[in-house]
Amino acid sequence: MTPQTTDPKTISEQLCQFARTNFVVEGATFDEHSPLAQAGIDSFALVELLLYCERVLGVRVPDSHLTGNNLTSMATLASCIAELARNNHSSP
Amino acid sequence: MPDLPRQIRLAAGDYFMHAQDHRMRRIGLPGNVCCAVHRLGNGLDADLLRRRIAASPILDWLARVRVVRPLPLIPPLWRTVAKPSTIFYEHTDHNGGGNGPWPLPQVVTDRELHSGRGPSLAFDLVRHADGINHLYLSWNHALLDARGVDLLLSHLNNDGTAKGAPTIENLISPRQKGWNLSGWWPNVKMARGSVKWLHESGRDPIFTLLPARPPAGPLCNQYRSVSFSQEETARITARCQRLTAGFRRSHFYLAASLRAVHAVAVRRGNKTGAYLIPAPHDTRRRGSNGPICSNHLSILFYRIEPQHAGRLSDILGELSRQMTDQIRDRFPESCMAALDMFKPLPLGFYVRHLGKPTRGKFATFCFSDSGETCTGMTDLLGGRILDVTHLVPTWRPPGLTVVFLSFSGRLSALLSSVNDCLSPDEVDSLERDIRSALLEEEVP
Repeated sequence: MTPQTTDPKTISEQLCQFARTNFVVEGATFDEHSPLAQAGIDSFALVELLLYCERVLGVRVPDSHLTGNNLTSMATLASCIAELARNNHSSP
Repeated sequence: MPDLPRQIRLAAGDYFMHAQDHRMRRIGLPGNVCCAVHRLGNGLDADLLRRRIAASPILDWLARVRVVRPLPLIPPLWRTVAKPSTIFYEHTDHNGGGNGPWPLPQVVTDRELHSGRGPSLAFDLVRHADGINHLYLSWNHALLDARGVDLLLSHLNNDGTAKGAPTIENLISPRQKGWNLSGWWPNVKMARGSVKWLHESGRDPIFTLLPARPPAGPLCNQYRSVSFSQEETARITARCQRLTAGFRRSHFYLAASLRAVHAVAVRRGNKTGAYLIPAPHDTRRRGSNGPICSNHLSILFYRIEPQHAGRLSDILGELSRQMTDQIRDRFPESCMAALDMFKPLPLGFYVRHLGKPTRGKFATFCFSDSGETCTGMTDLLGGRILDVTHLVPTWRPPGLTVVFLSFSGRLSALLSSVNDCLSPDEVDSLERDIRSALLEEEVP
């Protein structure tokens, strides 16, 4: 599958929207710079988020890229995904 | 104030817990009854606690609700009975001091909490001579899960002015309201995936802690609480951060528990038996105030071969791979659909059906990470919360349950086992190995 976009801003908006729909409690403030760990993203939610990236954005994030720095916020995760997309790290 | 319904649907997890309760009582165990033990400092206003419990519409509803099956082969439901039940008991201990959570006082262990006959929960307040109080909140697991109990205490602790505390609107999930058969109609297609997966993963050989012979004497639950100081908890968190980027905390705890069980299995001569571990996941959104009632969970099942169970890094790799595969295949939803589909079965058939994929072994052990308990609460009705322990009974099979929870920056692990499944020496070794797996670096 070819990556859909390489723009970190667009990716982070899509990720935030997915998180708001699925994990973030109603009424809570959440944006691309909110710490993921405080926004209800646990291991289960993280896997769902990564599978969403595969399915919708066409990018597979390898385990080696799941570092503390990349998982700080949606913005940092989006930058990592954009980088992978530019290097054509597409999902099978 | 909204009217509370007279009856609601039983969640798939509720019937599963109800069935475990039935099975435990049949073999002589005290039932699927948990107990949250809160050690409270001086200053607790017991009268206020009594008044709050008596005035709470949430507790009134929870105390009156029972599991009822309207007709044979129809899904059961929660239905309220008119009779109000006493659920608060106060005791004075003139001699002892407020020490550890275990053993429970006789008065607490003797309390009959049956989800079919009710009430399914009770508060026992023991006031010790040294000024320390113990609040024992016991509940039948069919009615509430650990997060529900946390929300219930937060509701009791609220004087009505605090923003964001659970209220009556948070008691029941909207999905459980409006009981009728159309809400149950089985999604066979959805359930099929998990049933197939369980039959494949439940294949022999599986390591079990159950003895080959039937129990010779009476069975009982034994508890061991493994506590970590704030400094040790900080070290564990730092290790978890390094090994799993901090996002797979539960996997780290599960890996440590499995490595410890593997050591016991190796000493018992296990060479080929795989470890099958169910791990529930709370489906409420983090920080949400409800629902309070029912078990809101989905389940992941891990099968780890013994050659991968000796090193934390290997176990973590396997857990990560299997979790991703299962979420990709929508196993958790499928598993809950299957449990929902089997709800019309009478308890005996239901239990037998659950045991089929593993030929009655069910699992090697059960694991759960309750996360942070009493979040944001430093005191309960004036009494400082000094310590919290959740005593969760283990089912037999599998005979061992490991539950992690943290309170006020301190992690603890509860090892709950049935007396004929693990010897005291083996429990000692589990405690030692879990501590070392969490705190010490592995030799490469």
